[in-house]
Amino acid sequence: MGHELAVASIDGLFAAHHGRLLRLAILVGGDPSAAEDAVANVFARLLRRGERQLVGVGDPAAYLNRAVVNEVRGAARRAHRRERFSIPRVGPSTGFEEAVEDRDRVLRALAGLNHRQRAVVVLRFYEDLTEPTIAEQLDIPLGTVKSALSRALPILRNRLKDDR
Amino acid sequence: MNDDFEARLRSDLAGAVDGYTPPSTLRDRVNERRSVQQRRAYAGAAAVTVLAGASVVWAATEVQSRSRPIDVLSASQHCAQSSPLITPQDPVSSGGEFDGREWRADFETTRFGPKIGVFVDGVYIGGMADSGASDGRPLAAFNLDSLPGVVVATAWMPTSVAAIQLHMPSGGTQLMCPAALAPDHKAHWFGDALGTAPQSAAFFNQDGAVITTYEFTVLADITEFTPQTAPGTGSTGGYTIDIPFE
Repeated sequence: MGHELAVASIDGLFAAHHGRLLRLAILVGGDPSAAEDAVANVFARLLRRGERQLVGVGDPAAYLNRAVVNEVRGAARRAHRRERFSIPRVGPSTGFEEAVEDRDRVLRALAGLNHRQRAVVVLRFYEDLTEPTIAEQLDIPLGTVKSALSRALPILRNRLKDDR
Repeated sequence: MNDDFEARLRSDLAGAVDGYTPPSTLRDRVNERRSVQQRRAYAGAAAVTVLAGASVVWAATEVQSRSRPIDVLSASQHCAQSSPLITPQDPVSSGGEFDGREWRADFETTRFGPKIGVFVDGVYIGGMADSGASDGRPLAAFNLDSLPGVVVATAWMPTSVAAIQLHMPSGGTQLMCPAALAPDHKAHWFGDALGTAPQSAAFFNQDGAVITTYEFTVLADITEFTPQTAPGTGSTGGYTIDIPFE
């Protein structure tokens, strides 16, 4: 019975957060297919561990953010990508060139950052989280968040400027 | 200046994933996946990467114990006498090929446990890269045209497996001798002739001891896939299909 409750609960989390987490994972990892895998694995792990995994979780969104960011990084490591940031070119080749090009431009800029910097930047400027919240979600010191941002932003500024 | 840049960055990030939403139905997901497969098929090497993308939350849940509705020891011994065991020293390959019709992916020499992928309508829709053994690539060779709406799992075990017991949604159980997983037959279709997936699969050694048991959960409606005819390869009268792996 407990397992059924957990499944129902996780199913609800999936419905509420899957799309958002998928986009987060794409921005942090850069690869839509890998992002889908990462998010799927997070939910699958939740399902496997069941209700106890959610005990004491006050903010499921924060919990899931952290799990997805970690899963993206872990998947990349397992694949021996060593932080290599691949940008698959998928999608129609006609009619959407501009949108695809614009999307690639941003992903290419993010590719210039390391995993932590990408995660911090995405959580700050895509998820619109505060620096203390990011520190809490990623379980890193606030100073690390600040330094990651201060190093990442000039890189992004240069890359996005060059690409325009 | 900073504010301008940060505002633009917010906009850029949102724009980068704008419209990227998971397909609303499993059929959409499969169609999208197939479309990507077809586009990539002609690009050759990227096919496996595409196939590894899981759109559906799916879980193979390993459980520690389970009742044994059948005499597993006898069945396992029977299987051991009648068919080769699955052994852990089978070959390793890497990469995979997809020629637009048939996809062949590699069998990794994982020592960590069964490798399972879920397929619907012959299209890989998700899998479990459990135990850190792989990046989630499905481990099967199959003909995309020959598998109608079914869930397929492939298994790879670290130790010799004498029998696999499937627990079906109907409450029944089915025993599978792993001949299909012997060196020349490595891909295996789990499911009954109507394309119904088992709820769980237990793996036994030749002493009848449970090596591991997996429960399958698909958090999506696969019933929208009406099983067509029985798969065109292998036996159609039972619940397993042997797919030669050349």
